[in-house]
Amino acid sequence: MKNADRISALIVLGICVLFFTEARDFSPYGALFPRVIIIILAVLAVMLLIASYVRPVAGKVFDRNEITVKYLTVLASLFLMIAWIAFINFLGFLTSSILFFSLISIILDRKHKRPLQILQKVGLIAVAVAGVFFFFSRLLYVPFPRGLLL
Amino acid sequence: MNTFILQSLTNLTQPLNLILITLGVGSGIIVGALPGLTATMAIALLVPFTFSMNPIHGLVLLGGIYCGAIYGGSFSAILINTPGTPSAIATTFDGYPMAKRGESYKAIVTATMASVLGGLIGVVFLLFLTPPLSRISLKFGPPEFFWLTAFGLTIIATLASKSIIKGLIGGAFGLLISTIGIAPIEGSVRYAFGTISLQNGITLIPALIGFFCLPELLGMIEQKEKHYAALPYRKQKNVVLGIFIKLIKKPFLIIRSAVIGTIVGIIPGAGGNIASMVSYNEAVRASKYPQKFGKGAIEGVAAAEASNNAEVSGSLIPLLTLGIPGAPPAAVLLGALLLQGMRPGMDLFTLHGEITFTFIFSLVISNLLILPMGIALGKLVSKLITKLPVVILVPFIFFLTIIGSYSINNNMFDVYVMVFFGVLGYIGRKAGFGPGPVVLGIILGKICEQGLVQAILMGKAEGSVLRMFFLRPISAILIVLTLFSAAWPFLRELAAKRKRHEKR
Repeated sequence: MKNADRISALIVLGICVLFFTEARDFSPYGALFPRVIIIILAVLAVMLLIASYVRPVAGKVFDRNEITVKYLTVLASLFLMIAWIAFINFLGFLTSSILFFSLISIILDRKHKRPLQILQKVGLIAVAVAGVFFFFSRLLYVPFPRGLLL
Repeated sequence: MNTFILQSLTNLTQPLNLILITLGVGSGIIVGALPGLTATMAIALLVPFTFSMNPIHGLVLLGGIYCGAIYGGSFSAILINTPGTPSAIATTFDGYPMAKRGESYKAIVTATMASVLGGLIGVVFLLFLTPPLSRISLKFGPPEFFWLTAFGLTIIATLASKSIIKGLIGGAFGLLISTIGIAPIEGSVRYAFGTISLQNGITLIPALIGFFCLPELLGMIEQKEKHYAALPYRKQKNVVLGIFIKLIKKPFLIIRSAVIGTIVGIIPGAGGNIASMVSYNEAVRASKYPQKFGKGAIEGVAAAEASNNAEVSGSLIPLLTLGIPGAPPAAVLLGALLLQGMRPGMDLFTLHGEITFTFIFSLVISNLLILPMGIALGKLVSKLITKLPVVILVPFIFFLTIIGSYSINNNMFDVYVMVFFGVLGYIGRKAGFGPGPVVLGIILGKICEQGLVQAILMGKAEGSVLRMFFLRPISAILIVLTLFSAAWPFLRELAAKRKRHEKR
């Protein structure tokens, strides 16, 4: 079950089942196109599943040998990105952006680890982010997400 | 039409437009040159910011970025043997060997000249082909639009992905996503899964940003330890004039490559990478000295670069006339047009003629600007390639993706959509599913469904659904093209097998 094609085919089949079941209550013409697409998608997923047994070409999505610092950094960054968005409602866009921009930058930077260097970096980030924030919101009137703080 | 042309030329003399084009080309060159950052990503990120701008300002800026980024990819292809954008893949074949010989400046000047000439030829095609094609688009009814999208999807699936099945699955998945929200006929709410936010469907731009930007960012983090050793870039005297004379003496090379680029661009989904590969291949076949290619021939660099810059305009031809993007960056530009309330087709050349022609003519300026800017920015770009500031770039681009996704509808749900599709795109890429087919499925889905359902209703009213679908002249041509493009990969494989068999 470590073949990426096999797992992908099964996930696609699962999506087909979910969407087909949901389409039961749609109006006749509203259900027509989704049903046609689901049938085509399911046939293609079955073809991929069969191909994964007959001609297994793909490896694993994430090779276990590769799960090293590289993927841990990716995962940590992704976690911080999601947290960044989640905290906008509480901290506000500007505060949340300065905080998580700095955190992502710190975990990606292995060279500058001394507290003073980190502080300098956070300061620069705060100025840059605030600059961009005010440039877009005040000059270009681009709307920004709002939270409890700015 | 003449009035629009005059108005658009006047528009282009305005300083702000010229500044925006210059900014677009300059930033495009830098983005295109940095491995991991693509033209599609740059345009997807900037589209939401153009929402509050005047349509002319927004479009000339995006056009400049598109041209600049496709050209910019040649820098990293030549200096570090890694194409900055997928379009520059064929530039590595001869560009890097030239740089290894100490001729990096010569290679970059060749790429610059060829890009300018190819880009300009492409714009000529765009200018002369779009108005008549847009008139033909008036003859398109629901069945024709249905078959056109079917044709587009088969092409996308077979060309845009390494595996045909995965490409088709991606396209069909995109079509399925496009059905979320209110149905175009009968108006029932579909796949909202009990949430109010999904009732309006998936907004295109956040989905595009998610699929094209987030996977690139996560990919950059993966590659952040990778250090590129760039070959030295030093300016030399008399190279510019020398290369110009050499290229002018080979007009067929440039014209052939530009025509190939334009044609490949017109085909939905076939991007600059395919254009440059086909054109490079043809340059080798047509050369008296094919053995020189791959070892640092300027003809190889010129063929690849002329075609990928011509492809920019080619990809805009089906976009502006039929609303079918020829390449992923053009798909994002479609989002920009729709955001400004401009629907592709005849309207663009009548109602919005001034904006459309200003945009088309701005591409001439963008292509011309590549020459001085490419040569002037060379040193800076070669430094940036080797010292890619991932530590700052990743969070900064993510910061822009949040603003971009939010600003379309002032809605945090769109930001969640962007992250969801971004993570899906990243995992999908790992499993061999490219984002191109999915995104084009999302774009074509609404047109496809409306065409299908309306054609059925029209067929029922006229007494025969089959006649409505299969016996209209334009539909018949599109059906033949769809069947041919769907069968093409299998036919190609069969032909290759037969060839191998004969060799034995």
